Amino acid sequence: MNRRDLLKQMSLAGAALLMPSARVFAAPEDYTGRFFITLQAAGAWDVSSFCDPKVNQSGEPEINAWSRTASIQTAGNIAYAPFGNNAAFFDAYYQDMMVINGIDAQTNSHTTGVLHNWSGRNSGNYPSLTALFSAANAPELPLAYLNFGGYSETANLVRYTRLDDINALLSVLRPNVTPWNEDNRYRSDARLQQVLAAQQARLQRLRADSSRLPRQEYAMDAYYQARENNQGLEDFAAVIPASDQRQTRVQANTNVSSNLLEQIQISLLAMQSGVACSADLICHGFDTHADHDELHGPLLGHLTDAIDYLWTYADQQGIADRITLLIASDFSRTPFYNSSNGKDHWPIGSAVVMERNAAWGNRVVGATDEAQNAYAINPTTLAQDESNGSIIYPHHVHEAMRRHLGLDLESVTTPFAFNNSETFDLFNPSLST
Amino acid sequence: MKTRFSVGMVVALCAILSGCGGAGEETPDSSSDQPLSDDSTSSVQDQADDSDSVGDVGSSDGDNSAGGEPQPDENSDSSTDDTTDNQSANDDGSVDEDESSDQSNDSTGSDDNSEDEVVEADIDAAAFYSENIESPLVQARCVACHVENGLSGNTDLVFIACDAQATVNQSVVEAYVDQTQSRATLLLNKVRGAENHGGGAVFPSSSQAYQDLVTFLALLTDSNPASDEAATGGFFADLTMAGTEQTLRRAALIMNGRLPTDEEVSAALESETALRETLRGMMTGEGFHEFLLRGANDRLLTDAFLSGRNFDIADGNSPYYANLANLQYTEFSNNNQSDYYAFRSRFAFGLARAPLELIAYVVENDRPYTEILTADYTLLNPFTNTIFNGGLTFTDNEDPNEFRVGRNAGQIVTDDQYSAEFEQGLGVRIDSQGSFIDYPHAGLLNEPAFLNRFPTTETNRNRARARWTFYHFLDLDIEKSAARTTDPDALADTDNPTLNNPNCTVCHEVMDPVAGAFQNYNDEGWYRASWGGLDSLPNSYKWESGSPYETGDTWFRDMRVPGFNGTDANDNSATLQWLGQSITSDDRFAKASVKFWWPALMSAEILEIPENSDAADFEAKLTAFEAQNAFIESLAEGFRTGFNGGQSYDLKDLLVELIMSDWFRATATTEPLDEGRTVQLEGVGTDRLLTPEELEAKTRALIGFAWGERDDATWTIDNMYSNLQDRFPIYYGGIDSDGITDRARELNALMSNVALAQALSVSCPTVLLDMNREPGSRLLFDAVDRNVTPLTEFRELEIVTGDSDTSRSTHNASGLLSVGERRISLTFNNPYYDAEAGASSLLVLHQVTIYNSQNQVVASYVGSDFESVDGFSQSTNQNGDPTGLRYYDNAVGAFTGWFMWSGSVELPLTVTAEDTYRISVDAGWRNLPERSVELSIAVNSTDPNSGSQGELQLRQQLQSLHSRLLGQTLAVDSAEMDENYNLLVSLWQTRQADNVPQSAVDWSNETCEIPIDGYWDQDRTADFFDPFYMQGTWASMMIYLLTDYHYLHE
Repeated sequence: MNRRDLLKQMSLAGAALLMPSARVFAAPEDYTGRFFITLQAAGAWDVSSFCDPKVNQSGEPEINAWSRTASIQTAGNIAYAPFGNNAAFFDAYYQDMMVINGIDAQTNSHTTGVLHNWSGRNSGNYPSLTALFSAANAPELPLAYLNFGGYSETANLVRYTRLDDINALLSVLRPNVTPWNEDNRYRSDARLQQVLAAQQARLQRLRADSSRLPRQEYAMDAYYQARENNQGLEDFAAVIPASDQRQTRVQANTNVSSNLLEQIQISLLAMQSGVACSADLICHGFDTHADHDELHGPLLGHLTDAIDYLWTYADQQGIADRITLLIASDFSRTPFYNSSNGKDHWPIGSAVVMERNAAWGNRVVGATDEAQNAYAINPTTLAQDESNGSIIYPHHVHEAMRRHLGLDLESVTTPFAFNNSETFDLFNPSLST
Repeated sequence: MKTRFSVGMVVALCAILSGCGGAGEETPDSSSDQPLSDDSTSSVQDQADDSDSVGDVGSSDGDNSAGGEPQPDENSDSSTDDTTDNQSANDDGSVDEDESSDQSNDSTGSDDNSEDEVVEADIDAAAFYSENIESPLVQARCVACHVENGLSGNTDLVFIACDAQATVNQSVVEAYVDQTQSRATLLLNKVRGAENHGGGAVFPSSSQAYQDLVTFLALLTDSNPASDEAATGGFFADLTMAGTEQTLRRAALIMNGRLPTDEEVSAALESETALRETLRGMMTGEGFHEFLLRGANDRLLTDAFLSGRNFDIADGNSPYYANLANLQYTEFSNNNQSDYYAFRSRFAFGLARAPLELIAYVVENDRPYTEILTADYTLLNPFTNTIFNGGLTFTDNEDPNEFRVGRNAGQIVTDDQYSAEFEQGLGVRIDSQGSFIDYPHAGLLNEPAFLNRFPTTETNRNRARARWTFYHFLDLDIEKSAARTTDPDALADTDNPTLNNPNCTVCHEVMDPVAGAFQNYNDEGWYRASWGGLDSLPNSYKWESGSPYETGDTWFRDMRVPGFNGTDANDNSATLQWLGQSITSDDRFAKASVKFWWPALMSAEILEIPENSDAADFEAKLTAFEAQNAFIESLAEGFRTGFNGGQSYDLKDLLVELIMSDWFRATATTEPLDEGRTVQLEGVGTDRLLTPEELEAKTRALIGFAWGERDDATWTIDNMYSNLQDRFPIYYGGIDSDGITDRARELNALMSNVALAQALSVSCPTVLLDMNREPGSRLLFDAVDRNVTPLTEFRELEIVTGDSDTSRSTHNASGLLSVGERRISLTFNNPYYDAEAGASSLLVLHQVTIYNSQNQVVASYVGSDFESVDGFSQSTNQNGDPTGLRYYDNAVGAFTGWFMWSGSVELPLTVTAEDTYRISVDAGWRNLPERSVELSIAVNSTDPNSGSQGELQLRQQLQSLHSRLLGQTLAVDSAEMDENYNLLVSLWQTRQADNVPQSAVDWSNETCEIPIDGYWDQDRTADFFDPFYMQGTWASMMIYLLTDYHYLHE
């Protein structure tokens, strides 16, 4: 019997004596399912220098400076641009990824692009894929849905925990430890336990009152069970390394200081300790309207290095096989430079889905022409098909992701259906564009 | 003003239109030249013509009514024909026809008596229908939608509007019911608003109209189609309500962030009327202001811009706020980016908060609540005032929270006079511009934060803004008003389906005109952002090939024209102003307002109509919905017309009525609740979880400070910072108004840890600061001081003045003692070690004498002989060493007493007769003349449950704390008090057993965060003196109280 089983048994035994209300606040089960992580490249990444590589065309404005001296590379079946640290990334992970190119966000607005690409709908109120996943799989976990920023609409299905301040989190996970000295306590642990035990006894007495209204019953039951369940938080706190052993911010380029590595580390530790099942990671700084190559190259390198760290650290934690990772952005950047050597907004972008040893890996679906305009794709064959195909829109990607994650069968998804007229079989390993 | 008939408008008006104003006739706000009116009229006739049998039946019944008794056979045939034809029209005629035949045959096969009964019932049914159903129900309510070409014209219930159609319409009902109880129940449920009834609740089950319908349907089906739970009178009959004091306390804490004053309690206790007046009088001050902002934001969610949501319109890179653009350019050019960002963040704060401040201003100044949508002004803080050329003066120009009434005169349009250059890294340099526009304020409808919070896109075309306008201000959730079609053909329709496809127009006919009313505001919320300030239409529409756009247009030609409720707007430059007036003239605005504010006080969402009648809890939910809906309707009526003779649209009065209601005050049940009743009462009554903001305000009000609060946080907008509002609001179930918009209503593990973290942090300083306040000025500890222990019989604290053997001082303590064993306790109350001098203060005890009330010596002990007294004891320090010794006086050359550098000594006292006894102590001090020496003389019981004076005082203190902190009345001899007292004793005993220093804080195992700047710069040693371990004990006890269920819920 593991700890949570024991806790659950104890709490139920205690509750039985009190004739608990119809609503049971059970201790969370040990979560053994899949983890889902999104990585949001905020600001709109340049997929023509990443997973949808474009070379310069004679007589046309320059698309990519790297194209002057280098050509498109491939890793397995996946083409990539010789830019940033792409080679190392794609060579290492091409078998674990599917690239979806030619996704039309139908907007050049960051706000709408983020909304559309990360909810599948451009008019708001649809939950993030992460929210849906955590609500369907383990909403009872104390930190079911972690978020570090970016799109995070929950549609009130589940609450997210924004982990932008690890020290603040630690203060809550270990409330008796003073913030300024981990060895200090507000009260001696013995006195605190004495108080907490008395408080649970007090709640038991309150719960025995037969004149309570339903709201009072629920509230008391919830509080009582919350106290029973908080051991999981201590488990998580116990595995968070000391501040000098945690990942820290790195200077990703001359403009961007990124804490992406710290986000990854904390998320994976939370998942490994059983308190979280999903996370939104974010890396800012891709909105390179000026000095695009100088800024974007190192930032893309940082992004791919961080993804490499994610898988490496997940391996160390023994959870890599349980992770699905979706990487995408607001939209993309123009297939040409502006007068400031920057690139502006372009609605046609890409997404990358990763899993360890994915049967559907080493594939590219969707396509764009040499000027990064989206081709229509046949939803059934995934081949280019101008007559019977459709442009891939974010809702197509979300619909496919929902099916892949098993969310299409979950009741939480029902109110957020897409009015698709076609379903893309994106995860069929035998198909590609 | 041009008026058009709108079928779509009826979706919202099903419940309010009356008379022959359905599709067949003009309504007061429809005109005769509308083609749909003509069509509808002919349609009604067509329906009559097409439905031959219906027409026949109508004639027959009409004749019968007018001229004679109906013949059973005729009637029976008519019924059969009627049913058959109508069901045929509904595409299931064959089945129903058979059933009807069967029923007919059954009836025919019945014996004469039963046949007579049926005939009798039919006669009664017709008469009853004509008298009680046709006019007050069908014509008054149903025909608004249930007519051909009406919104519900494609359902199984299609009536004919206007008089003299009773027999036809009765047959429609009969066909619908088909003599089955289940169909009758279905009809009743729909009338109550359930079963996805598009028109919502028409009549509650408690209404006469509903009861009449029950009677009629019972006649038709020979059964009782009403559920047992429907129409139960007295929804709160089995509940008890909170009394005046509890109601006042909850209202004050939720609405004002404080406890009610004694004067308010006294006034309110006089009567319920007095309570009402007191509540209304409390609606003032900073706490109420915060309540209004918080309650409004919980709905509008404009504080999302304070949580990092992208606030496009506050971007200085745009040219339209010319002052902001120029400021950015100038500051950036001077490399003063940080100054600019500091200003901009406060400007954005002012812009984001303006809608909420507008609402607060209207309410606090007793202005009609309608002004939230009609105000021709906005609220400016010093920073928006600067950018908007507001011309206002402020008390503090650096305070972003100071708002005053003003106008936005800070936007320009890009036109021929506009000349600017965008410089990378610096922004827009505006070289010339036209005049600033006079912004057409329309309350919060065109507040930039409202427009940005509900943004639109080039294809959404303001529909989201319209949707939320309906939701917040017209009590209509368009997305739930009709099911979204899943018809593939409809979804594939490319022929402007929102204008032409009935699957789409069902909603868009209502929504799109209001979307058009937002025509002057583009995606980002700018007013007329196109070149020349002509419109806000997107270029993708204006200049695309084949666009219907024509110069001068301000709205899309392939959408419905701007308007509301079937009426077109006629001034394209100020359609939102017109919309605001129109909405607030609509009866639904009042009901929407009630629903808007309900969660702020009740901490529960408005109940929704249950949809699935197969669900086990359907009836219970429907009953609860009806009860709540009826109450909300009554509040809406009062809000419109004025409560108790007051002015109309007075929000304070509405809030009072909400607080006075059973929904707010229900606190217990008088009998066990069954499953259905439990469902009905979800979210009702007391014990709502306090929000982070409410909990913080409560804590501040009770203990004098908030957790982690500081006013020098230079990184925040207003320099204010606190843990519950700035560090842990999400962890404690709050909202960020962006991704998390719904407050947690119950505690989870993470939240309970936040509550515990707060208690751990504030408990020690709460006790320490309060114990060291002068008696009478304490916030919490009004019955004890740090020296009262569970054993204390009586105690005196004396300053020892004797400084030599020849200059002893005498100190006394006296009190009544009953027969039994006692302990005399003499304590060095304020031991002190001077590190610089390397010396400690010393207390020297020379003689202890006990007198009875006759001044006779009962016992006497000499200090130098204490150790020889049977029953003598003394304390030890943390190392286990004794804290005193026999005192050898060098000057005298002999042992003259007992000296102590800390701790206590105890001597036995056997009381053989109840009497008043006096303990007299001769003492002196040594070593540190600058430090006074305090001697505590006490007589203690030997049992913490002996009923000593100390026990009584401690119980009284616990009683007081329960009352103030938890709002609970606890008798000093109650079982719950015993539990609390025993915990206190246990904490006290274990603290002594731990042998911690006689200090409020055992610094080796504990800490104490004092929330006072410069506190540690002063000598605060005395604050921490804790000779009897009670400060430290109370600090632990305070954790228990500050995490108590009743502290976290009100």
